[in-house]
Amino acid sequence: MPERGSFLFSAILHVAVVIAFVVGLPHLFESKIPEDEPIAVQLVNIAPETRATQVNPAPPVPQAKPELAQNEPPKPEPPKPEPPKPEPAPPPPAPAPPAPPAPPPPVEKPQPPKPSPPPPPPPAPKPPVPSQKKPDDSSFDQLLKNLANRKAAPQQQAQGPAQKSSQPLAPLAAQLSTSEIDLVKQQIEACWNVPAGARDAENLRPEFRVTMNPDGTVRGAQLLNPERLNDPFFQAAADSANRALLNPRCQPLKLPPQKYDQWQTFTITFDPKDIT
Amino acid sequence: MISISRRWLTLGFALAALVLAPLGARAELHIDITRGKVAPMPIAIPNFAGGTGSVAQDITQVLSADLERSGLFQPIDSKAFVDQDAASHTPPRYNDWRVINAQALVTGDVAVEPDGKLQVEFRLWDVFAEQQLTGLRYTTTPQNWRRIAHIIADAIYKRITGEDGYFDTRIVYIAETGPLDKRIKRLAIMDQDGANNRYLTDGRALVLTPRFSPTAQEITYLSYARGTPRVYLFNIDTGQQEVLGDFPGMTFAPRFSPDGNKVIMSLALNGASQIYALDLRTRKATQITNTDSIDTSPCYSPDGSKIVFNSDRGGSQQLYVMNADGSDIHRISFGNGRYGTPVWSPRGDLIAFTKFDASQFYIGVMRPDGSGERLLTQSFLVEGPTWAPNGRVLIYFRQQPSDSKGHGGQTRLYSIDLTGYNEREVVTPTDASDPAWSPLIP
Repeated sequence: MPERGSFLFSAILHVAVVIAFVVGLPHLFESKIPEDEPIAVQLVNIAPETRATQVNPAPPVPQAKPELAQNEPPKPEPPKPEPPKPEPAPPPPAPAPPAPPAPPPPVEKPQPPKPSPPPPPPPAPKPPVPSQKKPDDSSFDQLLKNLANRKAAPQQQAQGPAQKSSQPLAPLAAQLSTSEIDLVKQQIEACWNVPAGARDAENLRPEFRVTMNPDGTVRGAQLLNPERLNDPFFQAAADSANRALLNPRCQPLKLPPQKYDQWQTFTITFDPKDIT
Repeated sequence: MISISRRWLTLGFALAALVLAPLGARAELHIDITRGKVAPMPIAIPNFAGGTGSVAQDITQVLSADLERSGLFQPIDSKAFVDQDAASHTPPRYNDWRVINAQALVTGDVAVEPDGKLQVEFRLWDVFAEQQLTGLRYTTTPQNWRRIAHIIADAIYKRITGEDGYFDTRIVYIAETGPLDKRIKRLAIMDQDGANNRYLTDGRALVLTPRFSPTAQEITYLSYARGTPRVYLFNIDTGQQEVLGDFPGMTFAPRFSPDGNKVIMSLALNGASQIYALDLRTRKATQITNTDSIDTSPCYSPDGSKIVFNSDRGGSQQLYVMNADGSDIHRISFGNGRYGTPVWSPRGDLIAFTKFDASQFYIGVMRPDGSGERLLTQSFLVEGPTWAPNGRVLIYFRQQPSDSKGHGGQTRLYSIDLTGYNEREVVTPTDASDPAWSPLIP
């Protein structure tokens, strides 16, 4: 009797162990999945990025909004009264209107004989002449002056560009760290003369594919959405972005040379959407 | 069954992750630039070549001053130029301009044709991209050299900003002379850069609020020429002036419709003031508002379908928008203080106004639905904004406070960029108020 009972007990136990083993297996597999995921997403690198982008927009804010201050810091130049030129008023105004703008001169567009992909000059030896203004990169919502410093500012901050930009970068962070990307962003932003005050600025988003030399200079930039070039506003925005990329004063881009294969080409979007 | 399918699923996910992970890593780096700087663009404008006398140099100077005044360009001192004789015909040596940080370069030539006419051509180059951006040639009489300079400045402005220029324009304003209690006010007109200033009326009658026709060389304004203030029409070319309309009361605050065929104005009668539109061809007047309040300063939207005006119908003076036939009146200004002299931007996206709040005057802009109000400038007295034809720049007048002896009180014109920066005096020979910007000269 006790033998039979223990046999039964033992049998039930064995079956239980087998069942536990079979049923438990998926659990073992499942428990491994969560381990896999963090590796693929690289949460580790996301953290520093969000912190970095949060820190960045902060400094410009306080300096750019003096309440009701008449003279805002980034004013290009103080109003310079020009010497009046009271020229003797010519008797009749009616000047014969000049011939309508003739189409571009017959002289064919003198394309400079491109010798070769011009080796972008290293950061040009700073000539002593025109001192370039300190790159005061202020975020777009501060570009338009408003004496009454009201709701507009916090509103735009809430939906500020900081969070948005972090998303597409996340999967790449494993290769090029976010602080390295931030550095380049700052460099290019400092060279971009934004089309502030342009009409429908929020719809102008020129995008380029940039090809780089190993020394961090830009070899070429190709506009990826050229179909909109017949819009003069878009053309102007694309040109200004192109100049920011090609400006020798903003090169070489501070990218880690050992990761050249990660940045030998990249795409870049210039988005003045917050200008309204 | 369940456990097996879960295992397969798990395996599938694991495989997918293995396959996809390297793909994600190989995706191209993307950078979003969402900030930039607002700074004038360094541009090199070497003196144009050719011509007789100093005409080539004069054109270059006027052109360079136009671009500089816009606040969007920073002409580089010619002493810094490496290439001292750049010609328009040949591609520039880009490196010479890159080292002095010129982002754009303008070269030009002036030639005198056998019949004495000037032929001026220019090219605009992108120094970094090493290409020509635009190039045009004009032929004109030698007296017209100033206009050619403005037209070239407009072409450069347009190519770089995408926006039409505003340099080939004129400004009509009220020239003020004499002591404050006995002011002489004359209608005056000058080029947008202050050149060619001249007076259109002799100062015997008080004149106020001139407005340029968008289509013709005509000005409408308020004059006391016959005792009661009336709205007049003035032809710049002929010098003729005439009273507009046959109204019982005093008419004021006139403004042209965008097609130039109508003048909209206020008629004050029995303590109220209504808005009327007068058809310039038929001389027929149409009443648009009918209230016991003061409705004034009407201004059409650029498509002519709507009218913005100010009214005290709600108690304090505020801005209202209605359809051109007077229907659907709704208030758009809701900030503190009083709002007046609304002017619809020629590009339609904004309305400029004068605001009075806490004993300070402001010039500001808001969207036609009343949102996005921004105050651009503030003073003891700033008033009367007028838009550049491209809707990018405003001119207004500013008066300094005067003391009890009648000292001070200087009144001058100022311009400011839509962004709120680049505020500058528009230099006039005398005190000046009530500016009105012309359209681009046809």
